[in-house]
Amino acid sequence: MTLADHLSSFDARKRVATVYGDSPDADLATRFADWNVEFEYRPLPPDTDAAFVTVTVGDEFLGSAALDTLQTAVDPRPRAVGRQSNVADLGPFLELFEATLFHSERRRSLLATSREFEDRAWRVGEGRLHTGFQRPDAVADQWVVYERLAETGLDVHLYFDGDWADPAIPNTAVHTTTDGELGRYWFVVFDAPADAAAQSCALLAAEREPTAYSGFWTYDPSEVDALATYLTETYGRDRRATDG
Amino acid sequence: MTEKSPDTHLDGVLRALADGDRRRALYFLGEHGSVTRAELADVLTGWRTVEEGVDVVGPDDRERTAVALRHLHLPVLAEADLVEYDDETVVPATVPPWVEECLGIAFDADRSIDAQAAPADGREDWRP
Repeated sequence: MTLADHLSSFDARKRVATVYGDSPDADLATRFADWNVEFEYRPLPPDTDAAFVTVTVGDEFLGSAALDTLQTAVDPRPRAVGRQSNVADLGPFLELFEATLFHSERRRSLLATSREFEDRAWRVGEGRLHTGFQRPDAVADQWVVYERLAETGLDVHLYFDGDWADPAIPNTAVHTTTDGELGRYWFVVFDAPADAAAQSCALLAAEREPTAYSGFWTYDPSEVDALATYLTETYGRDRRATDG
Repeated sequence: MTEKSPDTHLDGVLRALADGDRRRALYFLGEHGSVTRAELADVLTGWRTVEEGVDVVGPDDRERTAVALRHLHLPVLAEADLVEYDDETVVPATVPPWVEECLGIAFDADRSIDAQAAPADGREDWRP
């Protein structure tokens, strides 16, 4: 599976949540902004009391619930929690939304998630971190951060398309191509060691047009492992690029 | 479509309206015109969560609904000249004014039953 294949398999898991009722609920789509869920609205006849949501993936029906049930489940008032801790205690209906896979087309959201994943890797301090920067100048922007990451016990691998003119970061492997997939994808894949597997996380985004991204991130250790394995098998595990 | 006597036609319409799933199918078709059979099964399954006060229904419920739609509801609705359908799509038939009236009465009755049932569940909403 190439990076493009990984992206399309994430894309194929996109949920469509169709809200049926006599008025749309604009709030709901905002609340699930970074989930891999697309909201649609189909009107019921005016003055219909009933309102419900169906969830499908491709042609497959996953489930349905009253709109009230979903609204109550995501109501932030009774428990003020952030997105992360929210994931653990969702009702059975929300499990249909896959609380391990997220999606965004907002660059700021993808950036924040990348920073969060680098921070996770730093805190764990072991395991392997693969970061795809697309271009050398993007590495230069994060230079200080990656110097700091390389001081831990992490095995750090950087990937991009182009030539590396700057001095090597100690303890860091640099993998480069010219005119390959590395120029098109942005990724941060943290493959945590077995005793901290729950910390594994991966973000993968495609640059659709200059600075317009569509990206996914996952907290599923087996998916993180699949991406890490692909990168290692394709681009190698040695540190040759830093030696010369 | 074969010509039927007015009496037989009314029998068929009333029989069609004597089931909640079939009435809801007609309301949804009335709103949207042409609807795929797949979506109609989704809608009837989801709508029932509200009618029956169930939290979540899954693929098994949806499969039962799809089977009932195929083998029972669509034939009954078509027999009463209320819909036409093929393997993919269901469309509402053009009906005489008295049938429109029957549908309107059924819709109002369903609404009014829901409205009367509501205070028991939503007491907080009307408390002064």
